[in-house]
Amino acid sequence: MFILTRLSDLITIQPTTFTTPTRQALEDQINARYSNKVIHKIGLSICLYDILKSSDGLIGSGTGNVNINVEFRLIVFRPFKGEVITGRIANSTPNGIHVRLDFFDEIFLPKDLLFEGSVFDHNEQVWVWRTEDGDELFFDKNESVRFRVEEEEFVDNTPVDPALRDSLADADLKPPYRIIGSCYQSGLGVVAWW
Amino acid sequence: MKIVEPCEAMLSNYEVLAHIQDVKQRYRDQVAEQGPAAAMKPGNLETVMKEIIDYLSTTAATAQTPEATAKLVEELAKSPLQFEKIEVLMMLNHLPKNETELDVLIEELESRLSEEQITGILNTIRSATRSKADRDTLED
Repeated sequence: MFILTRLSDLITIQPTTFTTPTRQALEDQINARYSNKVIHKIGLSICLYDILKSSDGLIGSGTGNVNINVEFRLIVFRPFKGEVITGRIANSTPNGIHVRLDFFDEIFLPKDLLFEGSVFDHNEQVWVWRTEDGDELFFDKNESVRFRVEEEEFVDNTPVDPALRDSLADADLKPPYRIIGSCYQSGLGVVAWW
Repeated sequence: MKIVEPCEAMLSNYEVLAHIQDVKQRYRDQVAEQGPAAAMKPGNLETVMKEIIDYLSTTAATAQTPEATAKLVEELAKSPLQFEKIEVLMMLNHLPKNETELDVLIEELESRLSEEQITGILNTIRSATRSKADRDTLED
């Protein structure tokens, strides 16, 4: 589910933070830049893991900022295809089930990848799995659900003109990283079933 | 920004939880030493650390100890059943309790492993887990 990614980047330390030890200042800058953000084709970066190398600090002309080339490793959320993950059901629609982890919301289980014999109950707004034995099993909201990662989608969102940003609804912006999961094998589905 | 190596290693849930708890502890120590000014950490970091801890506390990661985890990995990796690396990782993250749960993680479980081997694996996994009672006494 989590991987380590090695990056190198130019980190700028501003004079206001000169009193903190360099190591700590670098860590704060790296975390401020990457934590909880999606890196295209890499995944959702969580936080700094360790710093491997750093160059001497150089002060550019015009500012008092110190520039340091740093090579470091980040913890990144990037489940591999076929991995089994447990999440919670956020909501259900006729198209499928939205699943969320506490730190990541963009997981979708499309209706074609649910158990055979699953139907959507419009009154209750839940998916119901009618098993061969005639039992009805409900994908209730907030239940823990186990699913398999089938696909991942990265979207490189181009920056939006700040003047237009307010008029754009959130729905117009595609999530930069999205996971498509499946749920049709015994052992998958709501955890309490098995 | 330059990506030197997109995937250098894979981490288990337990390692991530341990790392984040370490970081949090270090920050708390700093506050104790240097006063509240040192507590100013980037907001996005605070958010994601809290959410990761929330999530991982609901998983099997809380039931693991460094020694038992290392031993389990060694046993599973050296096992004559030749598990793939990702299979070992998933077993470690999920700590399956019964055959159905194991079946999801291991491809072709029934043709690769016999009944006894499956029971053996489940026992190995169980012995590497702290029981809930143990955990409660530790937390007290």
